[in-house]
Amino acid sequence: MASLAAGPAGDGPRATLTTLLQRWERRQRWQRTWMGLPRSLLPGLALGLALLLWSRLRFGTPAEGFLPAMALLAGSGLMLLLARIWLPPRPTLALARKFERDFGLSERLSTALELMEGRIHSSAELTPLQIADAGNRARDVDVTRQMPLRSDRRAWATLALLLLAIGLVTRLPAPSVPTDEQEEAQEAAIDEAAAAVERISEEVASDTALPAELRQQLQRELERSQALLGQEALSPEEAFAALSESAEQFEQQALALEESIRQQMQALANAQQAGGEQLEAALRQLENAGSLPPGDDVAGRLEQAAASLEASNPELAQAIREALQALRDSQLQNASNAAGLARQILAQQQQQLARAQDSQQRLRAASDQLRDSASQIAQRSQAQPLVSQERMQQQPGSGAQPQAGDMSMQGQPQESGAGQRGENPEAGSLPGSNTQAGEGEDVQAGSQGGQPGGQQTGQGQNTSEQDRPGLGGQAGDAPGGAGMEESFAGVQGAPPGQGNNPDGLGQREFAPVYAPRRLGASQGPELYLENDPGDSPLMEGDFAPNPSGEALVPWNEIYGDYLDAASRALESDYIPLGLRDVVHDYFSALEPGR
Amino acid sequence: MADELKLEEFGALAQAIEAEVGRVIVGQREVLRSVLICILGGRHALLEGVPGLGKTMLIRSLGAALDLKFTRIQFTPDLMPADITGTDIMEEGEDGSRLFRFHEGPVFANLVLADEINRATPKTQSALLEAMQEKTVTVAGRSYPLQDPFFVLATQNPLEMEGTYPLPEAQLDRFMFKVRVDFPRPEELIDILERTTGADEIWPRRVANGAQVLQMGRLALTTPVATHLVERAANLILATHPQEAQATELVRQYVRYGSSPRGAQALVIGARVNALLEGRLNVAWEDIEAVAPAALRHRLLLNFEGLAEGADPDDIIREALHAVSRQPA
Repeated sequence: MASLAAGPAGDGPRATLTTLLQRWERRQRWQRTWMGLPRSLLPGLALGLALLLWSRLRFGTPAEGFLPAMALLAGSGLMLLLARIWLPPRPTLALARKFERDFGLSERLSTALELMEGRIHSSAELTPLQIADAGNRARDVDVTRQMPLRSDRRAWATLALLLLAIGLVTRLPAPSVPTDEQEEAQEAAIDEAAAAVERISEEVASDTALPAELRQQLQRELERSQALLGQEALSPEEAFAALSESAEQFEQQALALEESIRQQMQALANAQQAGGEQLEAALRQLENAGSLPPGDDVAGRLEQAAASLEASNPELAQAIREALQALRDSQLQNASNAAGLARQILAQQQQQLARAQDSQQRLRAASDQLRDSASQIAQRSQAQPLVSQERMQQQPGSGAQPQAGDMSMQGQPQESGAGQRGENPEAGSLPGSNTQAGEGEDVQAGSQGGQPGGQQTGQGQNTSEQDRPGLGGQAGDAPGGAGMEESFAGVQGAPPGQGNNPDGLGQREFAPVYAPRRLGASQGPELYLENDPGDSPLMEGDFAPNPSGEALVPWNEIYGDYLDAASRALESDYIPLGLRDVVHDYFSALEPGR
Repeated sequence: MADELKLEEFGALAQAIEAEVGRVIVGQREVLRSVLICILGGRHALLEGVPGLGKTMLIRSLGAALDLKFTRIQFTPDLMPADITGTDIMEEGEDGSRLFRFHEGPVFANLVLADEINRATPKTQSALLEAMQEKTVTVAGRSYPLQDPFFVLATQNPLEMEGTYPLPEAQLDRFMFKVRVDFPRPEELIDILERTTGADEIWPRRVANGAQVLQMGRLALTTPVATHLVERAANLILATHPQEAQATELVRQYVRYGSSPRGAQALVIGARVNALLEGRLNVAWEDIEAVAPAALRHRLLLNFEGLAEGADPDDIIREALHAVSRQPA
């Protein structure tokens, strides 16, 4: 049996008990406050974060404007907590009942308080003893041990994570949300593009050198673009796509025209070669003097020239033959007339070819102008430079013209590579690629011309592209046809003013890799893989100048590197999800031994 | 009235009584505590247990330690009320006159052991009703007061029910506690064998007397009880009634009728005494928890389902205690 001895009740036992109870209550309120502090802040901060995210994503609102509101929300939660904990009064007896249960005091406090208040009665002997016993037991309570200031670690951790998230969100750049000024800029860019399209359309309509069918086709394309650009609420992406498509159409037609001119010039050159490079002079003398110049079988060579012109210019061939026949028949007047006619036809053909070259250049210029317009729209659709763009812009040697990175990945023919400086050691060294190393300092990584047997042989100065920044002369070294096409060299060059960065502005160190979607196509967009500096180099071996065009490294030795690069690209965002299987299949098909 | 007992004396006497009876009775501390609570509370106790567990010995030892006049009545079917209360017997005086003279029965004692009380007929059992409640015996129109203190400690065997007469509810309700005497634990059984199979007979010494028992009881009943504990005790009683809102699941399922107000009295009185025996100067909830099973188990009338499924009243009481303890202070 426990001892029943207890000291007499001291002075003011009720005050003592009340003081103790109030102290415990304060302690408990502090405990609850400390425990509930992180939880009280969480709802407000979470709500604030949600609003911040929504606002930044929806309207691009600056984070600074949200911080006071977030603090207000969190403060409201804190105030609610404090009000709930500290405001409600609690009667002393209720406190006693609570704490005697919490501290295992076996109803001593409430009994003592009720005895003191006269609510219950006991014997004269027991009453003071019980009150004193309650006081002693109450004083023995170690309140710091009974009510430690515990912290809710999970809630604190959650709060820390929330604050970290808020910090990150406030530091992140605002996403590209078009503002009114940006929308106006976009609309202006689209209007400018529409005006450019109209101007090009007028030029095409007035260009009589173009074949009628080609002119109509181009006009239809331009009308389509004009109609699209004239639509209300046209998105920058749609305008970009339309212009890029038109530019592609112009580019293809320019190429086709270029090929036609090249064939005609080839035929003419063959005729001149067959005619001893004196065709015109011979015809002039025949016209004027009714005789052929002295020489070794001039008539035979004219006959050969007529034969070589039979396919490309049968009218000229016929006139030459008639002149020769009249000369044989000693009909000098007729020979003179026929020679005059032949010379006239020859001059007309040369003029037509010159006009066709001008038209071809105009087509290419129109294509470039359309691409420029598309680029302008793309630039102005960017609300703020993205992080990647900012980072890339900080890199030295960035390209001359910014480019919308997101649009360049939409399958539009954004040909990179123009403006790339010749310091790129990889230029012209990739096996299987058509290395186009010009005589100047500018070197283009010529992944486009990677098809073996490219026709751009010889050293050609691209006169038509000289005004394009960063695009130097191109000297193809791939074996192929005879190189006479000085005027057409480099027609597959990239548009001006663009870096090689597929994500936007500037240049980056890339290893060109064929885009799978280009398989079987003459040209198209390229994919570029960023080199991983921490990994093995993409290319190994001695990549000295390789004029022969043959790969110096056997394919099976570098296949692994290509496969690694392709794997990294597959794991990154550079390759769209829908094309990854194609890329995988492509490289699998290239595996040596298969 | 004699001088009031001091608190220190109460503790010393209680310890001495329990120690002295404990010399004779091996184990059964809870049974002894329950019986002592009944005695100090001035009420009666019903001990239930199979034969041979020391029920009679415990009560005899308690009577010896308390120096109370002890009588034992072995209840049998042919026991008559007069065998308990006593009867008027015609006597012839020296002058030849004849008169009836009341001969006190065994009930006229301080501590009456009603052994196997359920073997007597209800009529005989009811002969104890007046004695237990009024502490008087009325024979032939005349009432005879019983000595104070007066305690009836009855025993009954829960197994051999054939030929027995279960106590009526009214009489059961007059027992403050129904104490279950369980089979001793192995070590207690060994101790019993060691103590009781030798030549020496251990018998408790007298450590108190009737007057002191009464003083102890009076002091114990002054133990203060906080009002919210009284409310909880009342709620506990209400929780045993299936029709009440506080009724628990088991009560609704198995109880036909719950405890009477006398059960609430037993609860609070038992808690008061138990608190002081525990050395506490006020009643705590654990005191109520300690005495509730003994105070209420014989006051719960089980319904058919409860009887058929052998529902244990102690389980029902435990659930009710748990439910009440969770109520806000």
